[in-house]
Amino acid sequence: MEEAEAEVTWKRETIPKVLKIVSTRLPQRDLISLLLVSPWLHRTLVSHPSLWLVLDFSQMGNAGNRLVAALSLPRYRHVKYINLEFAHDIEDKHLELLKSKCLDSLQNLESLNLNGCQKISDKGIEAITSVCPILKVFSIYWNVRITDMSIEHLVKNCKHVTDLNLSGCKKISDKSLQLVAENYPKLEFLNLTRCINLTDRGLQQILFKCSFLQSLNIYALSSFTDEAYRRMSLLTYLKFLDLCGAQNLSDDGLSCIAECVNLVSLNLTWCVRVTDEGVIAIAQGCTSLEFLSLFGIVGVTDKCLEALSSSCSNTITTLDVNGCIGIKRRSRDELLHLFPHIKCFKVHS
Amino acid sequence: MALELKSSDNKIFEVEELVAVQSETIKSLVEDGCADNVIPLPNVDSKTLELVLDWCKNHVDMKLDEEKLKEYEDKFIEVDQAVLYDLLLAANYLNIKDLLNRACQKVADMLKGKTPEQIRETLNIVNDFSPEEEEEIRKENLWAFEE
Repeated sequence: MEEAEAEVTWKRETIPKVLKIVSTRLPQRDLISLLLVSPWLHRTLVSHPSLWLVLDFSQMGNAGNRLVAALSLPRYRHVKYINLEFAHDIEDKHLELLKSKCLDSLQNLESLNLNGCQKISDKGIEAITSVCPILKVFSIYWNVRITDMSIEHLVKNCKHVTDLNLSGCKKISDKSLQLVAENYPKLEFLNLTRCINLTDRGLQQILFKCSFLQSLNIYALSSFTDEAYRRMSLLTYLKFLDLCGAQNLSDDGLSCIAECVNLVSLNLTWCVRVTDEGVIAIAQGCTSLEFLSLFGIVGVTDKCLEALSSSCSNTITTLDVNGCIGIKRRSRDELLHLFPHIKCFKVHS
Repeated sequence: MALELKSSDNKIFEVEELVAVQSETIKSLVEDGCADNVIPLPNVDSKTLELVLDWCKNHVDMKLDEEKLKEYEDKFIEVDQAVLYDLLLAANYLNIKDLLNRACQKVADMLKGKTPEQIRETLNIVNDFSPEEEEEIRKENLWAFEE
């Protein structure tokens, strides 16, 4: 009898301790299953706020209703991160419902992922941003409904955004960039992939005012010119720059980009006007470069690889020179000879 | 350099410093100069400590042989629940990251995709919910289980 009791005690102490540690690593569904196992387990887990900081409905159906149901529960009062990436059935009306019913629970939200939530429009953004005052990370990839109005709501309601992903949001214009530049001087991460309405004017605003930018993605934006590219030298903290498709970028513009001495990753895929001159400038300026794509640039030769090797041979681990027919010695072995630490030879497919 | 560790049941283990400092907890003690005497570990019994030290020793010996190490780790973690829990708690207390990760992964895999009833069976826990309580909690968390 005593032994059985001792075992129960051991179980009652050990299992909660073990599960407290393991819970932080469990996927959402398994974690919540634990709540239904026993009252003492329910008590133990619910009283641990760090377990309930994330709500993940990525790729799930009926996401809008489920999100509202979850946020009505007290244990999610301090939720920090909501992931709705490619979730189904999430619409403006759900975000408006959150505003009216769950606004207390969103006061601590720091990160909101609405990637692929294509039904959301300006109305939904107005509602959700109005109840997330300390939002830092906002991502709404591939939404072709939202307009500059959404960014107006964002900058009005959320003063602390540091990471903004508007990749594929085709309706966004220079007006949004002006709003971002004026309101987020401490912005660190900006993705404007395929925001095809943007022009030099808008990009320049960002370059002038967001001096702490570390990551800038302007993939597939072919209307920018050196007028804007030249100003990239203002971004002294820039580490990551994606210029894939920048068909107007010349050596002159690239030489200014070479002044971003902290660059670690540079994508020049299809920057077809670039020649040795520009890449050599990069080699001389950006000595911490780890990732470089010159894919499709026919105007560069072995000369630029020599220059890159003399300054970045220790750091480069990814180098894509496929399609660079001007470079004669670019077999795998020849590249490894110049850059002994390369692990990846192909970025662009 | 050898260190002396004392388990909760007062057994002394003499261990090479290189092996012992796989534990971040012990490493800090060494760095702070507090490891000259016997280091008491009141939260770890001798049976568990012996296993933990075996893990640490093999991680030093097999450091360069990834394949061999993986084989060892896979075999090491095949223990019954009680031992697994003791290892997990010891790894947590002694702050041995790779052992903690492995043990947690093993427990997580045990629970993966299981219903609450199945979890009770696995962990040998009695269902002492009242039917009303259970129904209430089930209802308020229904959203988590929709397909």
